[in-house]
Amino acid sequence: MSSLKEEIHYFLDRLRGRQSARRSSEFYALRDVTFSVPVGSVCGIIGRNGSGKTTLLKVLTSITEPDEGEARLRGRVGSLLEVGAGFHPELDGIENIYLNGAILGMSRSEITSKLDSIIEFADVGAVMETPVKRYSSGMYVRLAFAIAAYLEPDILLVDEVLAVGDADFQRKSLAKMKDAAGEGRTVLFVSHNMAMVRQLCDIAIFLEEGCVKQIGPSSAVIDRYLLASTPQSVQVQRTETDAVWGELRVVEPSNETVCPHLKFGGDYDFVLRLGAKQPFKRGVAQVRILDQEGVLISSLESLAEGVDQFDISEVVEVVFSIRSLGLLPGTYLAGYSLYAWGEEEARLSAEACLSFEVIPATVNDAYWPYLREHGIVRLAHSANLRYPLLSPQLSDPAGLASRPEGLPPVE
Amino acid sequence: MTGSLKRVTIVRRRSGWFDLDLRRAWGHRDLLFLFALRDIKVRHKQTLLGPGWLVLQPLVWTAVFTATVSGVAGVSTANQPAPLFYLSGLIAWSYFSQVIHATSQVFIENEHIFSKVYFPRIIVPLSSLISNAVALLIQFLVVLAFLIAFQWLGKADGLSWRIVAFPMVVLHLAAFSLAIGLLLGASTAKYRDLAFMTPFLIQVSMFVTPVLYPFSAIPEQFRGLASFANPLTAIVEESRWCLLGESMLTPGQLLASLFTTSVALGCGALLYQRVERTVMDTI
Repeated sequence: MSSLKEEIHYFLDRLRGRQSARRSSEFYALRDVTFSVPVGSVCGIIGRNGSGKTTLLKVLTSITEPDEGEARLRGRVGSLLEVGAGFHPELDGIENIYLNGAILGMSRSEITSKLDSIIEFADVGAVMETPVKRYSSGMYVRLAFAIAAYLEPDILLVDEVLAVGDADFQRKSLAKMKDAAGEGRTVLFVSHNMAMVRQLCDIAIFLEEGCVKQIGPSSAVIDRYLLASTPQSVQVQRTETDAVWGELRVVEPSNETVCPHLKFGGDYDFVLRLGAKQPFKRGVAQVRILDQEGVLISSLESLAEGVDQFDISEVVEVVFSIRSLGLLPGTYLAGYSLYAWGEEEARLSAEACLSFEVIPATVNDAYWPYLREHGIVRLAHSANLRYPLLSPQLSDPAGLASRPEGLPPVE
Repeated sequence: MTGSLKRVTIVRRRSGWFDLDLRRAWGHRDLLFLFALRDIKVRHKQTLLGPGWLVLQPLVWTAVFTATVSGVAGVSTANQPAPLFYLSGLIAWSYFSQVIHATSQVFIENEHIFSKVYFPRIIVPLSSLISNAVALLIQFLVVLAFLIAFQWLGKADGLSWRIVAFPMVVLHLAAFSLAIGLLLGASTAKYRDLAFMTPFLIQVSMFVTPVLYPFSAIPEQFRGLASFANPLTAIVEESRWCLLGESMLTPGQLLASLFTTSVALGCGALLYQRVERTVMDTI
């Protein structure tokens, strides 16, 4: 958006042969992006904010024209950058179904034939004759999504729209997207929700600064993205404030070598090295282990494990020793915090300063290794078999033999 | 579905400097009518008089003009009863002003839709032509009622065969309104400053068009120039010719007006489709 004033300045500058500042503010939101998506696959588009994901969708949907290059889309294209685009608050449910359907590219007769299914899917009750401005936000979104769900294009371009609605509705819309793929439709899906992308997508595209960083099977691309978004800090990635600094690394206890790949069931030390530029009193340290979606799995606590508040005069290392690592294979993130005793706010904190991979291994010389499908952590346990002799208690599953006193015995 | 997979959409920078993609717009014709229907339905929702406003507005203006311009200032109404004279001009002018008003804001007011869904953007201005044509039709019926009433009173010639030409007048009017609307809409999207100019322009158009005074009051040697520079001049006169019978408009002046209308429409469409390609990046 330029104002007339700017434009006149720009024009005058050009007349004087001066290089205008305007050109330098222009940039390519997407550059050299080449990929193809097989028919019938669900493709996730991931990347940080500003990496060009939404611009890519806007180019594919013709909302904005590319300066160079071209895209070929085979079949009818439907886009869902927003649910309920063009809904008018004053119009009733039916009128808005027609309007929004037509905006999305359906013909009137097509909408008429799908009208009953849409109303049923939306499940908003007997309010179809009421202006949508009187709908609750949940009803509004359900109606809007129902229209989109029956768009039935060959290619569906979806932006983060599934993040709306309650959990139940999200499940329903996810199922609908999966159905779409099952019916041979191709879906391109922009999301920040890695769990959703992993669940829904066969392939994924990782965009960074307008370029394709990686394209391939979704789980591999997601791992790469998560790795890229957390600096491999094992050696020297230092977090510091004016007063303190910290470094976290994972080492093998025997030889202190840093290891990016940890074996399930192995022994490792999380070493948090803390330094003070001015003497630091009564420190409490915490290391947090998160899964790839950022969900906290466990925190390692100095205080709870019996390390008293410590002072840092120069450098101190807090060693959290893990014996028989219980994290199941997968990629994890770790971060840490340093508190001064009694304070709520951390003096030094790194959200996720290092990521590490846990690789499968067996425990107790078992034949089967633990894998990610078994959960996130293995609780310390053992398994044994025993062959008990049948006792009266065990042959009495209903517990009748141990009836409370006072009740007549049952024959 | 395998059949539809043969259709390939190619997204690329449009090569020509003029590419309105009317074929794709035709594919969205249902949307065109649904937008028009929405505008008609929504315009008078939750108002007391509802569509009565469509009738009331020109009637009030007519009463005011009859009392002041004709009554006080004594401006000629070309030997016609003053109410008929003003009404027949006003309905054309108010169509023009309504369309301009709606279309000049098209990219700004529809940003939330345009930034999320693609359909040929020309659909929206076209739909406002249709929805306002419905308003025009209602006002036209009011004029007819007045016409018949004055005929009954013996103060006017009344209806004539010329009335069948009125749809042609509406076409000319719609074409010119669209032309100016597209020019303003495209420019306003790029330079918001122009948004302040639109209401001003609408007011000016009332005075430079023979709505308040007869076409015949323009000196004869300037009538051609007036029709050329402001096609609305001829359009209002066409409307009076259809409804009231008499007109000083010559075929040459009509052609001059049609010529300017076509050129403006071409320029408007050109500018509009240039702007629609990338405006969503900057708005």
